Amino acid sequence: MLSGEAPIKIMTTHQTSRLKTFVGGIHPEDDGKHLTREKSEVTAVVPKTAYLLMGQHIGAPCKPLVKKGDIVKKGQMVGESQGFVSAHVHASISGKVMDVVPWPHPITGAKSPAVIIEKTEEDSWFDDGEQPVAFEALSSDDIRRRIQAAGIVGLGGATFPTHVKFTPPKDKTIDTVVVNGAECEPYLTCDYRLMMDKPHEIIQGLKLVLKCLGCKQAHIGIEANKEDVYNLFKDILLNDPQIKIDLVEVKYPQGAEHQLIKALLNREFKPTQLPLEVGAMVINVGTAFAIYEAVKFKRPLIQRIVTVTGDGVDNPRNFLVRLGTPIKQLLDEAKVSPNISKVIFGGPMMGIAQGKIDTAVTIKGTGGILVQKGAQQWESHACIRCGRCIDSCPYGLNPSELSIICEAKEFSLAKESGAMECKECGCCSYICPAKRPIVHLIKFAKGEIVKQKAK
Amino acid sequence: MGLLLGAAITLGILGMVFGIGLAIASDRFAVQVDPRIDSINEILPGANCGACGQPGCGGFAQAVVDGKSPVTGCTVGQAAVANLIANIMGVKFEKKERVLSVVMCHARGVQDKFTYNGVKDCRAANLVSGGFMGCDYGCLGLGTCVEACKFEAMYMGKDGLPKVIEKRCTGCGRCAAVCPRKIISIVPESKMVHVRCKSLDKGAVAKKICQDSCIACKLCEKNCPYDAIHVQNNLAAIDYSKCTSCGKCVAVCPNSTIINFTRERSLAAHT
Repeated sequence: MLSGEAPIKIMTTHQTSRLKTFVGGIHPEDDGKHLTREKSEVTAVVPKTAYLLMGQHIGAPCKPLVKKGDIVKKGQMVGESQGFVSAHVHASISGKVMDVVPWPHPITGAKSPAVIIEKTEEDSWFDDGEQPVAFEALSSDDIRRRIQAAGIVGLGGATFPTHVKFTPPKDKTIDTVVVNGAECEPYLTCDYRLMMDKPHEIIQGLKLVLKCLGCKQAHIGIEANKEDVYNLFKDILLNDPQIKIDLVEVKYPQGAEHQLIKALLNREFKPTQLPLEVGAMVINVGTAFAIYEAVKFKRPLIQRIVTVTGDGVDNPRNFLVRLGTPIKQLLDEAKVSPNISKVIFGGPMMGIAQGKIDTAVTIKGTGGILVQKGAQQWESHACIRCGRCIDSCPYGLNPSELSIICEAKEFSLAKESGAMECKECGCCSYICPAKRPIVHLIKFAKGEIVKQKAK
Repeated sequence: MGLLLGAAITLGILGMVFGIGLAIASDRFAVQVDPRIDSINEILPGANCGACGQPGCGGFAQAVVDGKSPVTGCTVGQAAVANLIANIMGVKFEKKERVLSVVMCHARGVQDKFTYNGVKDCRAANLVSGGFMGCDYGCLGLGTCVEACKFEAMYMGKDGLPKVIEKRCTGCGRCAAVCPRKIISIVPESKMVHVRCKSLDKGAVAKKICQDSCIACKLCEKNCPYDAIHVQNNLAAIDYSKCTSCGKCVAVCPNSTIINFTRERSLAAHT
């Protein structure tokens, strides 16, 4: 029997090593995806009161278009984008505008205006009175305009306005659109759920993206722990000349732009550069789906799938959540335990811990909420120079040295040492045996470098 | 012997040739430096604090000679240094009033929002969910300003707030520049009355958070005989060009937000 077992083991190792990947990164011990993965039911959550922040994206915050007492319909624009890099915000429920007040942003903590809507009306779509146009007949510019009108931003978490991304400089050509279906962040299964439930819609959305960009091919990357998704897409894409699909190694951060392009296309570019430099563009599966909805049905981005998970909730699952839903309502739906110690927006690697649960609301970039019961607390020590962070850094930086420089507040030296190239993926902090807050230190230095530059 | 002599003569001649060459080069290629730059540099405090807006004391000396900085530019050296620089430059100067740092927060009874376990620096702490402090505008108390002070003029008080040792403070503004919440202001020494709050929250909210917060009741505004204090964005602000430090607003302030420094300063002068 023993002799029969051995070859299988060797084969699996070989299979994993043959999968496409990048250099560096980590294998999180507890990936927590089993908590929500098998739950196929996605519960829709409609809040009684929605808090729509005007700054839900990277770039200039929106200007509120409504005032206290106005009646708005679901999908009606309530925030108009200001400036080039900005995206509209639409009402996620039908009802009365209660107030427009400064509200703390769940990621930055800074206060920006928010439109507060109380559900008083029937949940029906806003009608703009325009005649529907068959979406197959739309030109590249029409598609981009619909994306802009729908206020779509990158739903992988970076929330960069999509229509801006789809307007590349004239001297750059994009030959491949890379689709991120890796979902490398532990615990989150929102993209997995979407890919299982809406594969046709995602592929339709992707074809619209290709048309919009005038691009010939697309490449989908799926982590090897989602083989069911891979097989599903493979069957649909059978004999499709435009779209390729590949399994990639299960490793964090496999879904990041640089790492996914390296794995799928074997192209490399500097951490400070955009994928445009190598003729590629990365979109998330969630964004592809939102584009499909926006272009085909002219539906603005007002809802997304959010994974509520962790040991702090008794019923972890995926929810279809309207924008601006208070976290408290989601936690109650997921049966939160009374003694939780930490609530994180996003996953455990790149997520942002919340200071105040009462005021936290979902935004366009919220893919998950991780609730921890006994969040561990560590005391950090001096760097022991083991070099594990250097091995794990997917961007080839020296996090050990950077953390020491940042701790000494030598910001100009930190800039020279490449602090601005850090993407804050968190591999170094995860692997550090001295439990140093490396990412926090670098983030701190980055903020100070930007401030000095602005002076 | 002959070998020794030959070597000595050769080296001697070589030395002479190089020496003459260097002497000619130093005369021909000499860089003309204004002697005033050196003499100003000698007078300056040498802390390289950057309060003058120049990169260090050397940069300031150069800027004064170039006419880019006023002779009174060094806030640290104050009138004495300005006088000496004015003598060197051969100009007259108008005496500027001494300026001091004042911490405009008096956080009392403020509860933390959450336990912060990160980097011990106010700027880093302010990045995490907008700061761990219950008040979104108040002092975080991790001592970044104290660390930034080059003149040992600040320390952390027992109440968790930074204190200024006014005798040592030079008004260079380094503490004010590093504070992520812009709580420290640089104000003229003669101004005794200050609003020690930065909260822009509405009165009812602010009062719940902190016992000493400005609740924007406008009593100070109504009682000021000089039109020097106004409530804007739920916070009283003093126009120092109009304020005479009469103390009427201090007397009417219901929340002891507005403070008169006269008593504190006279106490400090006696100790």
